[in-house]
Amino acid sequence: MSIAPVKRNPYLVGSAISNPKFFFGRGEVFQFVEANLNEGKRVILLHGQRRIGKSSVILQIPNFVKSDRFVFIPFDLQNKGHLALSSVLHILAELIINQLKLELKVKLPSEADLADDPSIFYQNLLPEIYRLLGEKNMVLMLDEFDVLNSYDPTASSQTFFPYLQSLLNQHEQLFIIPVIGRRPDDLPKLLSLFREALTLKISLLSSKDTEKLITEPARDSLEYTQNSIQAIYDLSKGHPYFTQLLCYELFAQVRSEQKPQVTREDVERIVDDAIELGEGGLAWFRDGLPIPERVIFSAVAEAQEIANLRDDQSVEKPLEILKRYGVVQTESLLQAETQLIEWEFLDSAEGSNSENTHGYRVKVELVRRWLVKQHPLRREIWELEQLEPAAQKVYQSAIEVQSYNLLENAIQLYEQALSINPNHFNALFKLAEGYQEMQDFRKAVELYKRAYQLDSNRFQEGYVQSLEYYGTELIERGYFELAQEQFTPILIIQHDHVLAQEKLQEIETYLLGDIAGMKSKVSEIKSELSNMSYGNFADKHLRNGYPVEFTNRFSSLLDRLAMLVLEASKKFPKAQVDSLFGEGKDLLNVRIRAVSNNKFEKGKEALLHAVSIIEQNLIEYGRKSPIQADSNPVNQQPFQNQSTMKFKVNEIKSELSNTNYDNFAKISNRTGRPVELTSRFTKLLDELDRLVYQASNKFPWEQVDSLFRDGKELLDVRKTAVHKNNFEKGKGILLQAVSIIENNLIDEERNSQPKANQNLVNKNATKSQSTMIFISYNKPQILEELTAVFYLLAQLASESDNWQYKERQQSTSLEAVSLRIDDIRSCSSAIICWPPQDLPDESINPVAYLDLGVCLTLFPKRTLLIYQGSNLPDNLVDKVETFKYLGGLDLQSGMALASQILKVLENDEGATKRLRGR
Amino acid sequence: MMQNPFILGQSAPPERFVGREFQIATAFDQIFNQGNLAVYGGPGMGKTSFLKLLTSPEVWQLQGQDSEAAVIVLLNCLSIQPFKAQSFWRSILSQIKSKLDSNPALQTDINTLLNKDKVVSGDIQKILRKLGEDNKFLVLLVDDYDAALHTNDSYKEADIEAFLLECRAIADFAEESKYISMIVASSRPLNELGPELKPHKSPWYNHYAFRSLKPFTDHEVAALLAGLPMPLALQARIRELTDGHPALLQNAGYILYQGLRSGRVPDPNTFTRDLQNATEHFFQATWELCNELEKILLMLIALRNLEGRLLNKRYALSNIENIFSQKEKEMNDLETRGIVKREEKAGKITYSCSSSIMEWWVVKNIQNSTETELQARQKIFLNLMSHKQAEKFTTAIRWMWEHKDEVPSILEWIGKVITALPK
Repeated sequence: MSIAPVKRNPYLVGSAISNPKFFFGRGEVFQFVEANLNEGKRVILLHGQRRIGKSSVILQIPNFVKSDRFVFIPFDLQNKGHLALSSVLHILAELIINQLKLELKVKLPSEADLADDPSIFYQNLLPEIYRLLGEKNMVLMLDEFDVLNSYDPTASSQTFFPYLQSLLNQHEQLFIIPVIGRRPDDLPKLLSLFREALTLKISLLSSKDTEKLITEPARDSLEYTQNSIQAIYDLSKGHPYFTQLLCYELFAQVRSEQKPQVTREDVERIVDDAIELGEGGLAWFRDGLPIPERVIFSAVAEAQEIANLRDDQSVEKPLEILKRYGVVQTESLLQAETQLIEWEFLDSAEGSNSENTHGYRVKVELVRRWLVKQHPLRREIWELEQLEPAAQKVYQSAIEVQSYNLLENAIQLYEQALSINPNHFNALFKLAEGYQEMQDFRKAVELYKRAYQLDSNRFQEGYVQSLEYYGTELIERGYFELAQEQFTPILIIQHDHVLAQEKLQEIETYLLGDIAGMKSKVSEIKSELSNMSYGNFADKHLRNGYPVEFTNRFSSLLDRLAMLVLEASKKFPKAQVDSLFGEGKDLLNVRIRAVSNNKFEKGKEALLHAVSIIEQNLIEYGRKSPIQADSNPVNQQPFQNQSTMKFKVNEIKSELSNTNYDNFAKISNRTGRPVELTSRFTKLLDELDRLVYQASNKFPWEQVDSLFRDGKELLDVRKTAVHKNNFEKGKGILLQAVSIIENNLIDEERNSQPKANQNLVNKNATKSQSTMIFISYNKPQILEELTAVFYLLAQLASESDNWQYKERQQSTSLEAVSLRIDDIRSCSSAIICWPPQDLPDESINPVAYLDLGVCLTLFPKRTLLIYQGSNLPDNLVDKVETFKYLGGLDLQSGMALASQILKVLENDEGATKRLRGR
Repeated sequence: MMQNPFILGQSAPPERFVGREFQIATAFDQIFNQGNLAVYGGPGMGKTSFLKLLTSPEVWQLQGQDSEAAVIVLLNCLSIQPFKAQSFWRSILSQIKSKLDSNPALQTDINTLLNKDKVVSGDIQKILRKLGEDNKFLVLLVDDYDAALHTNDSYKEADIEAFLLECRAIADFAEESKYISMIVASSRPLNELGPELKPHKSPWYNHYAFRSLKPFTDHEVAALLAGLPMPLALQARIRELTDGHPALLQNAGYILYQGLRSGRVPDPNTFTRDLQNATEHFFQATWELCNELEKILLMLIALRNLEGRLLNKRYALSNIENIFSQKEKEMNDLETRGIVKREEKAGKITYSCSSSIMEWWVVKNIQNSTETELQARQKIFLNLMSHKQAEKFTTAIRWMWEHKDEVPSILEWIGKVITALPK
């Protein structure tokens, strides 16, 4: 058997190139070095990214720098960072002697000698070497110079730099060429020592040099088509290591197939094998990067892969794709992006003209393919968890705390871990599970959604379940639209999810029925109202005599309209139909004053306006429905406007204050097993939850949600019996949360432009406009008497033409409380009748207090308190204008009250002085 | 009587080595350039045989190289117990000495070094320089390099790092590196073994070219089985049974050859039992080399495929494909290592163990696992799948404990081979 000589592979993988025959390009580097050495520049810093061929350049400097004036000593520092200075000097001395084959007269100092006295190196040894070199200078080429930039204080890293610097100061014949694998800017300490250093970056080879590197080494045995050369360049971008790698593999494959020529197809089919062959170098390409840069690197590779699969020119930005994977953008990720671009690991992607929308490309395509294969993004993002050791510590203690069944405490710790490192995914997962268990489904949904993005298999179950729970809860609480948003994604994930299908059907039926019902009410009321004329709206005699009663027909219409308005303002809070309704209704209030034809038409118009707004909204709503699946629940909150929120705050606050230990849960709970909250308290909590939810989106810094959670937890009778102490504590915390929300709302209002409601107050305060008076009374009798006084005033004072009234009985119904506050807000002055102490129902007192309190807050000077006999509490004396009512007004006392009313109404808040001076 | 051309229980001597031409050529490319090479592959993939082959003067000759120019040292790290850097260097020095009968002066130098208390890498460098002066170079073949990458009582994390840097200095950047070519063999690629690289730390393996030893190609299988007169159908079945795994092939071939040579039709039961006995330790070793996550993936594959073999549906594993798709990289790794194979039919990807005996072995391993092991694995289950999936998985495992008799016998698992046996 004859043996054909095996052609050896002329390309190199892994090793630096020592044979100048196989070295191509870098002419500009050698010229730079040569020119500057000749000019006497003694420090020349070379830098470039890893695997770019720095070590080969060092090996080739003696071959390509043509000068007789220098001898070159390559000295690799990479395994010397941890050695003592004396040891490094010893190795260096030995190297110089061996390399230059010098016959020393002095003895080569031992490591121990140098440790005793480091000066012998520069005082004895170096001068001897220079003597032997004669006219020549010595150039130390220090590879992996940055290895010495470590933090070990005892190692040469701390001592070698200064030592080297002092050597340079003392020895004119010494030149150095340090080589670093980082950008000089990253090593400020090093730069400060060698300030006068010239620097040169070793970067990618030009396409011409790359072509030489491809074709020259195998010129005798292998032919490359022009296409194949381009294909190699497209993969390696002139990176010498990757060019060599591809050519090495091509040579090996083509040799085994005994082909004489390399084609583009050959290049494409050997890529995977080349990647395997070069794994050692490729791994370092990534492992040498800090974690955030690794993640961005893989994200860009993935974004390109997706674009390639879609045959799309535009590449998604790395942070965008990370977001889709459930990763939160952090400062370090942003910086990593910049770093990778500066390092030329990434290029801007073409194909898009706008600066802000383009993504990036991995500079070397071969590296990109390797990343996609070996470091897929889905796996790589997990590295982010290691970024903040503090987060990991907190997470560990959370796990431990949870193992003692202290879920609540654990949750706090998980939250903490997540706030330290938003990409601590295990904390995220635990938190999602924790909130699910605590039945805080809104939070659970939010967290599970991210978990699902991170691992769609592992968290599908949890995510779907949380959506299911939250959706069900929302239905129970009457938020059908929000519930719809929970069930819709379930069906996207699991098409055959029966419960979600049923619930969505249920919601749709309800919503449609709801809308249909409202629509029919609207048209009914509208037509009835339109047909109403001045002639049939109230008893005829009212229009020229005492105001007494509505016709039954009109008052029923008003009642129905009030219900509709209430429903509509829940559904379309932005439309503010309630205030419009209030205005219209007040114009038509015959119980307080006679209504002229003119006023009737005005009032009717306002009511019709309100109705048509509702109608419009219903039509719009029908168009939008059903709500889109992906709309964000956070943006679709139930009460969106400020006033609705404030309204809620007041309502909840007063109700919460009025809740006491006896009425908050079923009595048996407090002595025995935990069972149920009273439905009233549950409802209150739900309302508060909703408010807190919105507030925490609006004022996240206040963390009312955690406060709420704390309070709610203390009151949770479903877990454990709640004692009176804990009840008070919990109630206190909840009230605290409410007042934080209240303060923030007030602040916000102050900082913003005057809003509609404020306008109302201000507007009414000016004389030319109508004045709205709030009347709070305990018994119908006193209201009748007041009505008579107003009638009197109408004869006496012309300005009373502009007065309007909102009369509200001091009822025991707590639901009325919240509405009351809104009513007071729409007024600019008030008359409050203080209840006598002998009233049977004590709960009236708080309502009167509430009215008084709100009025004194809003318009202290324009509030009149009517009290009976001696029932005026001491603490109110001098705080408010008062009138003593002795029961059964006669003309004299009626006149006195009328003038007191006039006096109070003349006060505008700034005009008190003027009045006193009169 | 003719010797059985197949080899049982040991590595193949160079004269009976089959295949791997491509990898051999790469090894000699690296030797020629004084470069370095890291070969890797699972148990029975032929790493030891491969390194042995590189010591053969005939092979050198075939590659157009003169083996006289080289001092070839083959060292198995497992032969150093416990592994220590200085024992490693000492062992190399002794071996170099034994190959230098033509150069007594250098032998004396080596003796001096060997007489020291401690042999260090610097001593090797000295000898390399002298070899260079003598126009020779060292080919250092290191088998079971894994042992140098794991700690033991007298070999700590820091010792590993120091040792690896020394190796790198000698083989790559020291002046003497032009007189040495180092070829190491390990179970996994070096970057998956040994210390993790960190920014600002020197890499320890980037001077190696990497080549994996994969299962034999069809061509190589045919070459190996050429020594056995058998019907083509049987050959195809054996290829399927072993998925080209060299050691399994050798074993199957050996057993069949024994039977066929004596003129007996191999009895299916005996064949299966013999093959199973002879190869069990490969599966055991392959299993041991997998990390916990990979083990669980293998269990899932085996259980999924067992589901289809059972007469009645006894347990249900839901959405296993989703798990596999989330762990694409791990599945790819298992596939690259020749443990798992992937099939795509009508857009649906299914996985199975490359060798059906391996799959059966995994099933048996599940059956023999204990409650303690199951509990220990729960955490990894949950890192991989949802609670519900983990529950089903656990239920399936428990079912297998209780119904050992319902699991098909190995005969059924590898049934196709049996039917192909000559009647």
